[in-house]
Amino acid sequence: MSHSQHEAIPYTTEVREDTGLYNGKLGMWLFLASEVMLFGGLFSAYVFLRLGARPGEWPHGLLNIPIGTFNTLVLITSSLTVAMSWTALKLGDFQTYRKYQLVTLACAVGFLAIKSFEYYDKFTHYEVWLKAPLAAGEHPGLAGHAAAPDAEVPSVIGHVEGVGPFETLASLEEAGATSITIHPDKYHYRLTAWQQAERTMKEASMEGGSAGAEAHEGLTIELSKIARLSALVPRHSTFFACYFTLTALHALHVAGGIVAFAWLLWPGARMWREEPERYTNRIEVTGLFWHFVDLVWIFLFPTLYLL
Amino acid sequence: MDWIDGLMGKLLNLPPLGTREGESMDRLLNATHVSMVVLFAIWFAFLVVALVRFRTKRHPRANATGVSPMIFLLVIGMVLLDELGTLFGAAIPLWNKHLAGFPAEKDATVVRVAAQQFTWNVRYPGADGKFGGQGMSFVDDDNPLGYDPADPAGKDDVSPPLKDLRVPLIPIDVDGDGRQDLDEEGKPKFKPVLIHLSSLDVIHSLKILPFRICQDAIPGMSIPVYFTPTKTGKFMITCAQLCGNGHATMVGWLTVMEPEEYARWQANYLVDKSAARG
Amino acid sequence: MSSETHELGFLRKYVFSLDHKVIGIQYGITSLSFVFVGLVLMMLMRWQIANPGEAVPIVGGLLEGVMGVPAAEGKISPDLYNMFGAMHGTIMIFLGIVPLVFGAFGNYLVPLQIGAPDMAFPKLNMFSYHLYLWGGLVMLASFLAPGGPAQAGWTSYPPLTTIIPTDGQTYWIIAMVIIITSSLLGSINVITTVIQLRAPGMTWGRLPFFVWTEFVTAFLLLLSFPPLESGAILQFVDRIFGASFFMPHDLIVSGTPMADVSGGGSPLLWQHLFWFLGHPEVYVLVLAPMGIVTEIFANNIRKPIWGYPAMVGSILTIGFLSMVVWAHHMFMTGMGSNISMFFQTTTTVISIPSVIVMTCLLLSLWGGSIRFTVPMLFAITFLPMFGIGGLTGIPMAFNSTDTVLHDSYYIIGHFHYLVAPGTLFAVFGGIYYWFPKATGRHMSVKLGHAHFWGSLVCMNLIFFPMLVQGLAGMGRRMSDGGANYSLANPSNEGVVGALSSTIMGLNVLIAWSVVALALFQLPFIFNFFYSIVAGEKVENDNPWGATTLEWQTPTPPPHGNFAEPVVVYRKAYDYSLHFKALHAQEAPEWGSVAHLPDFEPQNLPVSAETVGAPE
Ligand code: HEA
Ligand code: HEA
Ligand code: CUA
Ligand SMILES: [Cu+2]
Repeated sequence: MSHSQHEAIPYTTEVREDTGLYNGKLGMWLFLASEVMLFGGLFSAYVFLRLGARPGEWPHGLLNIPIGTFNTLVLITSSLTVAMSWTALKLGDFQTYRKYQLVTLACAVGFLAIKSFEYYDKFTHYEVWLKAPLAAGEHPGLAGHAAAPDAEVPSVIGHVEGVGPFETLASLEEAGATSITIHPDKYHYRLTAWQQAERTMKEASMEGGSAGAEAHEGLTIELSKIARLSALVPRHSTFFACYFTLTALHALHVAGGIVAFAWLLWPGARMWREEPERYTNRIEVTGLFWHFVDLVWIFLFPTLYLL
Repeated sequence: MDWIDGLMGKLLNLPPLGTREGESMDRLLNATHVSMVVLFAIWFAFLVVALVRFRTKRHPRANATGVSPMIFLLVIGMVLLDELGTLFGAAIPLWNKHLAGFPAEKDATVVRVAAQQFTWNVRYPGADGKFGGQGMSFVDDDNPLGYDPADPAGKDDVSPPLKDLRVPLIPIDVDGDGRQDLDEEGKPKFKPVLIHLSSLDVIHSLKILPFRICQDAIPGMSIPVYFTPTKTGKFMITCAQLCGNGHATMVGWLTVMEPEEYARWQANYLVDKSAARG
Repeated sequence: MSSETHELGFLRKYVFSLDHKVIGIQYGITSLSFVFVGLVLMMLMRWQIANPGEAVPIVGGLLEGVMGVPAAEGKISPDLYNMFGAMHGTIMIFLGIVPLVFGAFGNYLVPLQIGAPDMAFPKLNMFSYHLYLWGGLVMLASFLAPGGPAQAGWTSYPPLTTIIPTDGQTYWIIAMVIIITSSLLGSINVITTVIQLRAPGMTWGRLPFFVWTEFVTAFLLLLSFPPLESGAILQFVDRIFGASFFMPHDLIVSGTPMADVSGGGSPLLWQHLFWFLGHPEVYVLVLAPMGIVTEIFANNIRKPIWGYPAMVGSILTIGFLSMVVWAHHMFMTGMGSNISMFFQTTTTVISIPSVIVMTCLLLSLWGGSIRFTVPMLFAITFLPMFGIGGLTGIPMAFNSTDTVLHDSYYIIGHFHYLVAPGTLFAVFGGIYYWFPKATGRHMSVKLGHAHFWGSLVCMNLIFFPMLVQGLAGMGRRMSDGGANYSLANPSNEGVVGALSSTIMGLNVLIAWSVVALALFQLPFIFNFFYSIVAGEKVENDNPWGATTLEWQTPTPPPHGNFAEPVVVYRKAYDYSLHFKALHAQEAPEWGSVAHLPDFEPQNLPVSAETVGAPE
């Protein structure tokens, strides 16, 4: 801690000539290398599982692309402001640095807020697998769940009336429920994106649509007829398991970044007066981390939302 | 070189071999061990000589110059030659040959083996060569593999007791001259056995050391294994993957039988018969 | 600089110290204690194997008190055996040897050997140690978890891990994540230190070989641990949130289809993630020991190590290649010919650099003036023991012959030859060698000899029979030592491949040798603690007459390490240079040089009197 000890260790602030780096920067690059391997492991897991998935088993179209896109922009903005704030510090302008960093923090917190909103939406969105499939022909609300008008529907996806997050069949039974009422979504992910688009187009041209009474009133299913019930949480499918694990780990990194930036902005800012160069280095190194976190999201977004 | 194989066979002390494919594996194992022993002996001899000759008492002033690089190159060259020679000359071709050698279903005795904590389920397709259909909804205590009781293809299936895997030793006579055919090496040909291996719960591993086979049984996958028995007898099946607290008890036996005896045994365990009984 | 140390309180000096040497010693004591725990677990296992189903003598009651049902009546049930097995492996590797060779030796020696005042990030260093300690304590706490600790092997293969109803597996995962984080931070520290803090003149070519090995080890930890961490995270999500990363469709456990899992996962995914770490990990266990052996060698043969560039090249190659051989642990999962060919080839190729390192060490002996000090005895023995361990890896590298050897005691023999009389011996040697620097006192030579010869004999009596048992078909992880597969089981009458009574008899031999091995550790433990306070004092700062920088410091080195700034002028092992020319003559006149020193420290300037030329 004491001052003299820092001085004993060379290159904490100044750059070593033959490497062109100060210690902290090299340390951060190494840390990021290990992070690449960490997320690399998870991405490989995603690829491995996706390639091995049975046909029709990999949900898509259940994530909210507009919100995701917006969040991507929020994060990119924060990366920009971090870069600007560091430039300001380099020029010795602490006030400008502070303004930019406030924007960064606002973006980062905003990102997490939006993410939690998305999460909660999934926690309360259910899929119900039936012991005996329903006939799409008999339930107009299930038209979007069947590949053909007379096809069988093995599972229904939608919002369940009066059921909070994380319930399972067992927990509902325990609570004394005997049936549930589900409002089926417009489409089930069993239909490919292409099929869904085709139908939407057809509907638009027919006008009025076939939303059906069930979509409004809901479809009541007895628990005894249900094989399995799960909200769109990790337990739902390997896709959601991947989605939540990857995005939660990423969110943890964002939170870590917030803590670091906030610390540097308030209690840690004392250093600016004593050792401005060292302080600037800290911002640079934390900024490197932040760009990496941003980059991870730029890979995550298309992988999870679009593909 | 037969005597080396014989000697190494004795030293390595593997259980006596019961399959055709195992022969080349044994040869490779023997040869590898011979080269290991030779390499080790050379190094060790060098070590001992160096230690004795250059101990401080005898050699009080070290010679900082060091040996000529030629010796190093010679040693490494030798090892390289040995290892790469074995790898590309024997090991890879052997494994590829093994993989390529999978018999067609129609030319083999087909068995399904499903591992389960801590036992082995066995099922034969019966006379029609077809297994009954399977489904999760049929699973219960009497029907752990979930075979469809209504499927006609399953009626003549054979479902023997647990852990008791048996196969016939059938000589092959394709040319119909009444005498058993010989393979390229001049050895008599027998009908191969094809096992479709799976697992119900965790990872197990079907190891029959006398046959020199070992294959993990992985839930969610069905993996083929084959071998060509060459003699009758009862052989040990080991579970070679930690699968829970009963792992050490997951013994099984594979019996290679004369065809007639085998047929009699199969008749005892016809699925239809046992269904009628229950 | 050093005046500062006096002002620090006990906590800051010994518990939350920022001094790399103190942290190194903390790592050392903690990890040796874990090795000891691993030893005790192993002794219980070996006892059970030799006497399946019997109550454990002496400690049986204690065992039941701590472990409850699995140890009912003081007997080791199969569950308990599996717990011990998994924890022996985990503790030995992740809490014992890795922190020992990387945390303890690396921390203590790397800054000293490169002439740095400390590690690049002292606070991070302290933090790594504390993470390690807490990870270790969580791992130990899992013994008390409901259902007992992890019991699916150190490899923790799902779905077994997921369906075993014990909280211990969750502890295991959490502890692993903490430990991995610790070694990640440690590796960042070591790499940065080596790259940034080398003293003036300490070029890459002048680094002691030990520093190189730690450098490569750090890269292995940095890059191969994270995939295991991701695997651990996935397993955590499977266990806690009911996901199915590793759970395939249609599992039927104990006759009942598993309800409420989505399925669609893959057990093989875990194996890939685990072994992507697992193989580099084994080189983590052995590279630094190679470095330790090299340091001891150079000092005790009194001549430069032969082929230093080849050795450095080799370990760099090992570092790269170790990332692409992992699936040789998965040969039996059913591999197509291309994948199998790839991994057989890489595995064979990676053995070559190991051979090069060993050969260089071996050739170094030639022409030396070999002193048989206690550290040197351990270092010499490392060679043939590593040789047996490494050579037995070769038949496993081939898919077809591995079929015979897979999951048998042959493998247990293979890797214990590498980690026990290999790594552990190197570590012992290292302790005897650097003890005088760290404490200012020598360890007793007599006790050292007892420790060495006793351990050497016992280790071979333990591990060689395992190779024999493995070939005869003895499987690993058998809670009854193979009794069910032996002729002692009446159902096995006339069965080809049943284990004979001779093979089973080896279990008893091994058990007694283990007891003897443990007894031969007593002189070491006594020696270690006794010598700290009452060992023979060192005569000077450099009692072995060594060239590397750690010996050119005051003893023990103060905070900040070097009394005055260091500058490096020579290669790492400038021994016996004065005699070089004379050796070339028929009848050397030793008289003219006999009084000259037979070593030139790295910080000794090159001049006419001191011999040696800048390279
Ligand atoms: C330190 C640890 C270590 C080291 C260095 C190695 C080194 C090697 N290992 Fe080993 N291995 C393990 C630890 C290690 N291994 C462990 C722990 C397992 C089991 C994991 C588990 O399942 O739980 C395992 C398992 C394992 C398997 C999997 C087997 C199976 O599960 O079916 C394979 C297969 O290829 C293998 C191969 C090799 C090879 C080819 C080397 C090569 O790199 C070896 C190269 C070395 C040499 C060739 C020796 C050369 C030197 C000399 C000859 C000098 C002799 C000198 C004198 C006599 C003076 N090992
Ligand atoms: C680095 C790793 C390491 C080390 C050093 C050891 C050391 C030993 N191991 Fe271990 N072992 C493993 C890693 C290791 N093991 C692994 C990974 C497994 C596989 C687990 C699994 O199946 O999942 C295994 C499994 C394993 C088995 C197989 C169990 C089974 O399959 O059922 C056996 C059986 O005998 C065994 C025995 C031994 C023995 C006799 C030693 C001896 O060499 C021990 C010698 C120890 C000492 C001599 C201690 C000396 C130190 C001190 C006394 C401390 C002093 C303290 C101070 C001074 C403070 N081990
Ligand atoms: Cu089944 Cu081990
Ligand atoms: Cu390996």
